[in-house]
Amino acid sequence: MHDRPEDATMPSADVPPGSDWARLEDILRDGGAFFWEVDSNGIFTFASSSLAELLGYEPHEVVGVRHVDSFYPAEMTAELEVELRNDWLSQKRPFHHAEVPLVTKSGRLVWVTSRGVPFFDAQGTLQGFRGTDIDITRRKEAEEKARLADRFLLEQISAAPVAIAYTTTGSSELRLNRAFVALFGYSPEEVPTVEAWFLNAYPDPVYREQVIRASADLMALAQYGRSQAAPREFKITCKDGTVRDIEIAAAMAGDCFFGTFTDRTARNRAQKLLLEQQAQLAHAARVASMGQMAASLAHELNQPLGAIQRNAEAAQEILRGDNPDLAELRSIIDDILGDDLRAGNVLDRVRNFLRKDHELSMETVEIPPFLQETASLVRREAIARGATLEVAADPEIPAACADRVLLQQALLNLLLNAIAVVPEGRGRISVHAGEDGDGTLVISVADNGGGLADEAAERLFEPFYTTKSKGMGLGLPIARTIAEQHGGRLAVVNTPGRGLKVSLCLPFARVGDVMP
Amino acid sequence: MSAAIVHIVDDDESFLRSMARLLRVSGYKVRAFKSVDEFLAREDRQAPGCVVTDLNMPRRNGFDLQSALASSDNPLPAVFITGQGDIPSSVRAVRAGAEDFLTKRSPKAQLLSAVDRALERDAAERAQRTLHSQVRNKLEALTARERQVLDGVVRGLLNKQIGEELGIAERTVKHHRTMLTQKLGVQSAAELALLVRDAGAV
Repeated sequence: MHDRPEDATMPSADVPPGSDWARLEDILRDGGAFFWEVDSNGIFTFASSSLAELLGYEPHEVVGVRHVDSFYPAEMTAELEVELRNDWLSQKRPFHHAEVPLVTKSGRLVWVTSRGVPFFDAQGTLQGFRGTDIDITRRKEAEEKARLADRFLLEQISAAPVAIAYTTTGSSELRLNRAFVALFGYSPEEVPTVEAWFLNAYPDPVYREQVIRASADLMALAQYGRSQAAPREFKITCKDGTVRDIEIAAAMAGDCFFGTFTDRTARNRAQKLLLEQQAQLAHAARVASMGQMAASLAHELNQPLGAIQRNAEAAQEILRGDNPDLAELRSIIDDILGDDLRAGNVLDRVRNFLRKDHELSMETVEIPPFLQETASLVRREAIARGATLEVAADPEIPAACADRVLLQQALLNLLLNAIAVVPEGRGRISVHAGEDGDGTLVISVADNGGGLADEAAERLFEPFYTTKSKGMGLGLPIARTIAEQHGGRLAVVNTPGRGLKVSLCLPFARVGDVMP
Repeated sequence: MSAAIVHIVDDDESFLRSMARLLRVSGYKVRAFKSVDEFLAREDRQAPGCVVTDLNMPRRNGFDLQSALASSDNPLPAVFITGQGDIPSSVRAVRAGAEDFLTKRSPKAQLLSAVDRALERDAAERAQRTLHSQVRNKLEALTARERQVLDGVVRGLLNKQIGEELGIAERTVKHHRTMLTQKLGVQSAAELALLVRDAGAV
């Protein structure tokens, strides 16, 4: 570039270094801005040397050329002719074109922002225009890229297989993707705003109010602290009136607030069905275990009934005499009432235990009496097998919050298992309740039944696996499910040749702090 | 002889109380015990009577009581009471010599007649035991030769045959026979045979 021809319009000789001219020349040479002048016919009379860098032409190549015929894309020529005549030359006002496409000498497209001001002679006759073209190609490309990226993102959102709605902060305009429209049936026109969405999706005003409050929480969580809030489930009314269980997860991206809507209706239904089936199975198992407890139950009932009978017979005998002993009769009646209560309690216990519609209901359970009561349900079975059944509970142990029926079922299963495996005539079963270090209630049933072989130990929790000839193989799996329903677990210590110790480990849960 | 006592054994206090009450107002002399051990440690262990015991009890049960009684010198008859009368334990109880096998809720009449039968049996066995011991005492007063002769008489041998068997004269046999009928206080050979049978053994 050093020995290019002299600039046609600028005096370059005799320019003293450091003078204003020298400075100006440096500036003019910079490729970022191209300085030009055209006369009143639109013919270039000056082009700065920076033209070379911008478009590849040397200034002398364009001086004398009509500006319209210079660097514009061919298809613009006609438009420019009109512009030249109507705007530039007739209106004689400064102009600013924000984006103008130009073609370089090598045919590449560049974008400039172009400014020009008219200049006049002393009589006010238009002499021409002078101005600058500044290269904005890079910025233009970046903008185009961003625009494409935005469009791509929107297309992705729109085509995403999950229902999405989004809005920007400060606006209530709601945008929906295709999956959203397909899931709920509302078109974007039907729910143009967040408010319209709430009105349609949550027709019940009380519930709507709750959802709006929850949504505000979700938004706040998404906005501050975390970018993503934990999903929550809501009941959304669709266009066709059906109500669906929808899990909503919210996220904040820039000033855009996104919500994804996942339909959990089918999953929830399946889960409910599973829970119902579990409950039915547990009930069937309770009915079956009742059979195993028949001896104890008969005893528990015959004992008070027999006592009532004997007392009544005694009373009859006393009344047959001339001078009945009233004090004795009174104490007979007291005893009868006491035994009647006792028999009634047994029946209540059985009825509760066998109730079919049993739903998980947590209550306070005092552990020592609970253990005694449960042990009494199988004590006769233990006696019939010649086994001792010892119950020991730390009296200081706090009350547990548990479902009494299910907890009793779990414990009974462990007890019946133990009774079945201990050696005839010298069985030892001990039930123990205590609290371990980290606030867990541990109720364990230990036996001296010789423990399990490796294979049996491995399959211990497999449903329908049993080592008993009359077993259903559901005792331990059900006990484990019950422990898990209480947020706890079942722990097994197997000592082959000695015995088995199975523990129900339950957190001392608070009311309502239980998994469904 | 002191009055017969009905001993009641049951681990269920309420049932035990009602049972004792009924038998008491029905005219029996009653003692109540909450366990087999308590019963076995009772005072007045030689008293006549019977036992009414629950079969199923923790620790020692009705069968344990039965066998302890059987090996004692006062084997009182036992009436078993159970919550539910299952066949295997009834069979076992009756084989073990139970006077009766009742449920907790058997009718009063059945209970009282079972108790009465048990008491009668005790009285009869007690009389029998008294007779046995008297006969045994008498038998023990016989000399060795007299016992040998007695053995022959019981087997239905003639004096002559007994003499041949023992290598002694018929007259000597006759003499021993007179001695032992005097000692035992019987008149005829038939009576002698009955007495020996009653004693259970020669």
